[in-house]
Amino acid sequence: MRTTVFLFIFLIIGTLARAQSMERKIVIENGHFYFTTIDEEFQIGSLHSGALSEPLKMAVKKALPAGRNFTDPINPFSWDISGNNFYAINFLMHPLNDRNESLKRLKISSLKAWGPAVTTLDMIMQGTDLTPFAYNEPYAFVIKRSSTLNNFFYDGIALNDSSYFMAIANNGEMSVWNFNGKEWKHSEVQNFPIDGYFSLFVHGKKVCLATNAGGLYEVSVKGISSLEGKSVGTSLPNCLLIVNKDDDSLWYLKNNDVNQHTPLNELIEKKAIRIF
Amino acid sequence: MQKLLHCWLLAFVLFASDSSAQDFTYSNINIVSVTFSGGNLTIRKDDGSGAYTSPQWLAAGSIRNPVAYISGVAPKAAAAFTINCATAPDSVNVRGFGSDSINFVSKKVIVTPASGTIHNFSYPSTTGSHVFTASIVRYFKPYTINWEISFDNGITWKPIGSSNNTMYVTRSAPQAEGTEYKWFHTVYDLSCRNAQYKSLDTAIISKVWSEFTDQIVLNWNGDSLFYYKIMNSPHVTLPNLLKYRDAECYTFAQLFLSAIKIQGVIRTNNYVYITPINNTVCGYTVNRFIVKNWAFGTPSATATCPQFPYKNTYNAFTGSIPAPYTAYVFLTADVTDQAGIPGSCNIRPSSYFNNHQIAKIDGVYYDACYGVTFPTLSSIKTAAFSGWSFRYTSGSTTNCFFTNDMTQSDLSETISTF
Repeated sequence: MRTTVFLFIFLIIGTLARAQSMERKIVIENGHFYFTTIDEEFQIGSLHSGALSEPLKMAVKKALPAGRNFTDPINPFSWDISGNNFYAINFLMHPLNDRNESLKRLKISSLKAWGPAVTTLDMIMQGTDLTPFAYNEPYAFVIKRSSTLNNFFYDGIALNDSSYFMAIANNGEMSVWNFNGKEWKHSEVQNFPIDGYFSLFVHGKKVCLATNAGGLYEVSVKGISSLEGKSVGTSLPNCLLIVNKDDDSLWYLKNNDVNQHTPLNELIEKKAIRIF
Repeated sequence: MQKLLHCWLLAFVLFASDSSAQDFTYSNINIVSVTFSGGNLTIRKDDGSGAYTSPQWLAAGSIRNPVAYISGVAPKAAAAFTINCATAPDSVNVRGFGSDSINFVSKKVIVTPASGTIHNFSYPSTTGSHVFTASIVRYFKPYTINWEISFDNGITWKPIGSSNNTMYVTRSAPQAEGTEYKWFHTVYDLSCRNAQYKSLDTAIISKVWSEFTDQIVLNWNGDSLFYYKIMNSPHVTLPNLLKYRDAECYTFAQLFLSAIKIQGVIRTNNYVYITPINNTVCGYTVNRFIVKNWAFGTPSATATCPQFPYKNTYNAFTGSIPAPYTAYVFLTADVTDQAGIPGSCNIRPSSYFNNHQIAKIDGVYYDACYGVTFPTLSSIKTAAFSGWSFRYTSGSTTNCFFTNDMTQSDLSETISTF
């Protein structure tokens, strides 16, 4: 009987864990992997981390004072790891959450595990009052250009602690932004029609953009240029990107191949497909 | 043979006595289940546990699931019965008379003999005699089918009971589901209940809106949907509003728009996010507003910021609404929350915000959580706000500065399609 009860609880927990899918990518840095999930009911995020030789299910889960909404069209959680810091665009829907203040930077070591003293409500409220590391000028720029959001998507990544890149799209236009720790610089607005989210990553010290359909582009404050002859090889919703910052490689893993029980390094070796 | 004769004799006696007993039903015949099909729409349970299943009417467990069709379609029903008799006839005729004068024609059905006294027979899936009038919203609570049986090949008929289900008929095909817009039970109910017999877009919108104007918004079961029952409610999506019956402004706008979309009414650019224009005052960005009413006492920060001379402080770690989340708690306060504009099922909801979400249809702003409309964006601040605010956190304290001078900022809107 006890075994049955434990099995039931295990299944419930397992189901709940599966209900939260990984957001965009897995980042590998300093021999550790990181991924994020979002609570589908409360929009709040969690950061999961573990050693590269460990299975994803062994990851340690920490509460984030940031998350994203589930409004159509979906823009997955925009996040990154750089050095000791975690970066996020806190775009969860909350009447106290200011989108202009949504760029957050947190010390990874400051993050705490979920528990009675670290609740969903706590994290949502902390996120709304957390001082941004930069004013979200790209967003302000976009909505000043047009108050109508249509195919509105964005992503941001940190090159290091003094260089943060963001690309933002709306109404078939895109602009690329760089915050150098003091001020934003941005590209000209380019026609760039997209109908789904995109992701940024760094390869060879260049910032690249993968479109929803799998197209690859190099982006900078000078503009957007196609990486001729290169593509992800699949569409983004069908896969997770694996950004290995240790060896500057980029892979993708089909959603069906994400196995929580296999050590990540083994999973990459057996199932991941290298892009760069 | 003797048992069969006994059954027929019983039937004959019951038939004969019917002339003086109009409501008589055979006690030895029971409806087991009724299943609707033929283009009926998915209806999701408000608690998020999935869609209602068929049979929609089930005697066991008293299951009475709702049913929905698009207007212009005829309902299709099947039913299962038992007859308790030592020996059953080989066949019987069954028919049904549904609400809206939709009839389910007589069908001769085989009675499956059983070893005991309870035998089964089923009325096959049959399309009703006519369609629900095209392009008209209908609401049946209940939709009744009175079932009848005949033992003599359809010459004489006797009632054998009724099945009741709530039935929703949408004017047009509902818009396809999205991530948050789903075909929830309450979305159908609120929409069809209010827009009954309506056809035109404008009439449907107007009638659906009437659900919100008295600040009493009810779910399909008549339960209140609260705007900030808990002052820092974390529920910001339609599924959460319906599941927890307590949520923030976003959700009421979503419910209003969903109740329109379920009728197939199409309005793009219908969802508006309003927030201060983020002008800078005293070195800080104005990014908060307070909804009526707040009382302004003696300003203590005139020297710090003459334009925003009222100052409150709160514990940065617990926030302005600490547990048990029933009121604003300030360490110091020049400005205090008062009873003001009531929201849905709550006379004193939260009222200190960075942003607010409302619906916009045909140029009119619909604020569903308060049940009020505004002709223009600029009219919102004068009608609904007590003031503007900015805040910053220093150490363990968050400092909020306020003004009741409404010219100190303005609202901006960001429009998307829900």
